[in-house]
Amino acid sequence: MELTQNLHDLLSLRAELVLTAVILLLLGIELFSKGNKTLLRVVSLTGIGVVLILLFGESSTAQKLFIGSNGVPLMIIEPLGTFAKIIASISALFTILFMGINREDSTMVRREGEFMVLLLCTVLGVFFLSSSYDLILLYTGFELLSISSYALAGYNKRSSQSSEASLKYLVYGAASSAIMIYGISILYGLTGTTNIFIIQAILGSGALSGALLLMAIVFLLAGIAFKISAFPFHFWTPDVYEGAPTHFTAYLSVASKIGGFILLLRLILDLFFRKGFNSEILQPVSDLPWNDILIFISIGSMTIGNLVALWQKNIKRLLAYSSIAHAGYLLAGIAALNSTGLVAVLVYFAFYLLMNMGAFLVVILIKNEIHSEMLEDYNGIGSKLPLYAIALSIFLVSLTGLPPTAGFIGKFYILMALVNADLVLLAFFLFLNSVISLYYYVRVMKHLFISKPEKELGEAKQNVYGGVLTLVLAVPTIIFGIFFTPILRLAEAALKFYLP
Amino acid sequence: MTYYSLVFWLFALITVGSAFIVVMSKNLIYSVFSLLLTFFGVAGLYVLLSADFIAIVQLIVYVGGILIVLIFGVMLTGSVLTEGLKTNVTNMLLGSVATGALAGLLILLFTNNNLYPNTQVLTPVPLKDISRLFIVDYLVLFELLGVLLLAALIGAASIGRKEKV
Amino acid sequence: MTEITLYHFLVISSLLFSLGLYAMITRRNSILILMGVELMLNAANINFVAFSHFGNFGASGHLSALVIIVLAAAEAAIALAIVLNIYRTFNTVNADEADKLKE
Repeated sequence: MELTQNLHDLLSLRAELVLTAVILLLLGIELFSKGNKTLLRVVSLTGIGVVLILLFGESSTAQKLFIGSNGVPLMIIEPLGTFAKIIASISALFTILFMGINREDSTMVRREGEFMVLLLCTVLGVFFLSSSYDLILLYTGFELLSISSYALAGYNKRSSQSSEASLKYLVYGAASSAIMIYGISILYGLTGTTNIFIIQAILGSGALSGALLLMAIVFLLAGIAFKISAFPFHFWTPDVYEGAPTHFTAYLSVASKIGGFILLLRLILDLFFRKGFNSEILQPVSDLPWNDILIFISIGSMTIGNLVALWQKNIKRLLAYSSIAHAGYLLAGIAALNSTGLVAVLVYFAFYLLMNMGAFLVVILIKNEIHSEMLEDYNGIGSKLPLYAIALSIFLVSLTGLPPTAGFIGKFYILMALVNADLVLLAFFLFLNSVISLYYYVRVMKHLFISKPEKELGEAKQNVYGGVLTLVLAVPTIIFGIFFTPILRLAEAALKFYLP
Repeated sequence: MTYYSLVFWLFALITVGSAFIVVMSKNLIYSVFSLLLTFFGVAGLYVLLSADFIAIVQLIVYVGGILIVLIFGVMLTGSVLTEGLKTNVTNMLLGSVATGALAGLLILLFTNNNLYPNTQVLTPVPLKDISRLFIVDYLVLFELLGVLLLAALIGAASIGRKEKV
Repeated sequence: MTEITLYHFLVISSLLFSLGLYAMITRRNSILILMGVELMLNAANINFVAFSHFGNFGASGHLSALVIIVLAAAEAAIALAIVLNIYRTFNTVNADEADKLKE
C-alpha cells in the first residue's frame, strides 16, 4: 500500500521532523510557562543543535522519498540540499544568539518565543526548498519561508520603520511569488506535470517550443531574483534591511539568500541542464540563452549594488547594497556553468555566512552603545570600542575580498571559474566592482578609526557576551582565509553527485 | 455547445471587465467590490472547466475569506493608505505599455503553440482522485501546508495583537 | 459562435495576469497591489485548471490550484495583520508629533 510507504518515508525526514517538534515545543513553552526565556533559549538552541547533528550525519548519503504512482520521487535527501540546510540552521543558531543582545525595543524581548517559532518556520521552509523535486512542493516551501519572513520583518512593532519594512516586503514578495507561480503554471501546461524529473525528460526530448518556455523561465527567475535580492528585483532590499530588527536582517541576508540560491541551483542542475558534465561545461537540455540571462542579472546586481552603496550614510543600508552586490558575485559563479564555479559558489556562501552575520552583529553591538546606525556617529568608535571596531574592519575587509581573509578565497575561486569558462568580460566586471566596493568599505573604517567625533561619546563599554560572539565569527574569518581546504572539501563533498 | 459558449462569454466578460475596474478605479471601495465579481467570474470558469470542487473552494475561501480580509483592510486603514492612490502620468503610461505588450506577447505565444486542441466533452476529474492525490502521493505537501497555516496564524496574531507597553 | 477551446481560457488568464502586474507597477497603494496579486494568483489557477482539463492531465492541476488558494489565504491573513499594525503605528506617530508641537 502506497500510503503506508509514504508514512514510512515521512519518518525518514528526520531533521524536518525534529525541527517541527521543536516549533511545537516552543509554542507549548510560550503558552504554559508564561514565556520563560531561559527555557525557550535552551530548547531552541538544543533543538537546532540536534538538527545540525542529524544533518551532518546524513550529509554524504542520498535517499529517494515519496515515490509516487508515476515512479518519480517527490523529495531526495542529498548532499547539496543538506549543505544549504546546514547553512540555514547555523544562521538561525546565530540569530537566536544575537536576539539576546538586541535592545532596539523592549516589547521585542517579551515576544521572544513567537520570534523563535517563526524563525524556525523559515528554516523549515529552506529545508523543503533544499530537498524537494516537485515544483508545487518547492513553491510551498518557498512560501513558508516568505510568509514567516514577512511577519518577522515587522517584528519591531512599535517602530513605524519596521512596520513599513514588513509591508513593503509583503507586497513585493507576494507579487514576485505570484509571478513565479504563473511561470510554474505555464511549465505545467507545457509538460503536464510539476515533477522536475519528468519535466527534464520532456525538455530533453526537444518536443517543446522555445519562446513560451523562455517566458516561463523568466517568470520563475523573477521569484528567485526577489529572494536573493538580485537585479532587477532588488529594490526592496535597502528599505527592508534598514527597517527590520537587525538580528533578523542578519538572518535574512544569509538564510533567505541560500533559499533562493538552492532553488536556482536545483533548477539549473536538475531541471534545465543535463546531469553529468561534458567537457567541464554544463549542457542545457533545451536551446535557451542561459549564459546571457545569468550574466545580465549578475553584472546588473553587482554594479547597481556597489554604485548605490557609495552614497549610503546608514550602515544597514550600506550592507544591504553590499548584499545585492554579493548576490551578483554568487550569480557570476553560477553563470560560469562549470564545476569550479559551483564549488566556488558554495565556498563563497559558507564564508559569506561568517562575514555578513558578523558585520550585522557588530552593528547591533555598536547600536546598543551609541543608539545610532549612521556612519557619521561611528566617528571615534575605534578608540572607545576597539574590539568591535577591529572585528567590523575584519568583516568588511573580508566582504571586499582582500587577503588574508576568507572573502578573498571565495572571490578568488569565482574569478578562477570565470577565467576557466572564458567569461573574461564578467571576470573583469567582478574585479572592477571589487575595487569600487573597496572605497565604501574603507570609508566605514575611516569613520571608525580616523575621523574625530564632533561631540564627546557618552558611556560606552564592550560587554563580554557580545565580545565572545564577535570573536567566534571574526577568528574563523581570518583562519579560513589561510586554511581554507576543509571548507573546499566540504563544498566538493556537497556536490559529489554533480561533479565528474 | 451553444449554451456552453454563451455562458463562457458571459463569465469571461464578468471576470475581465471587473478585473479591469479593480485595477483602474480611483476609489478603493469600488475596486474591492468589483474584485468580488472577478472571483465569482473565475468560479464560473472553473465550473465550465468541470472543476466543481475548485469552484466551491474558490467561493468559500476567496469570497468568504480573502475578500473579507481585504475589505477589512480597506475599511480600517481609510485615509492612511489611500493617499498613494493618485499615480503620475508617466508611470501609468509606461506601465500600460509594458503590461499591454506583455499581455499581447502571452496571448500570441499561447495561441501560436498548438497546445491540446481538444474540443470534445472531456470527463471531469472525480473528487476522489484529487483527495487520493492529496492524501497519498502528496502526503508531505499536505503536512507542510499544515505547518504553513500554523506559521501564518502565529505570525498574524503576533503582528496584529495590540501590545501592552 | 465558435467552439470554446483552451485558448479562450488562456487569453482570460493572460489578461488577468497583466492587469495584476499593471496594478503592481503603477499603483502605490499596498492594498491595491495586494488585490493585483490576487488577480495574478487567479490567473495562475485558471491556467492550472484549464491545462489539466484540456490536456487530460488528471488531478494534479486541481491539486496545484487548491494549494495556491490555501497559500493565498495564508498570505492575506498576514497582510491584514501587517496593515493593521501599520495603521496603529502611523496613528501613534501622528499623535507623537502633535505632542511635540504642544511643547
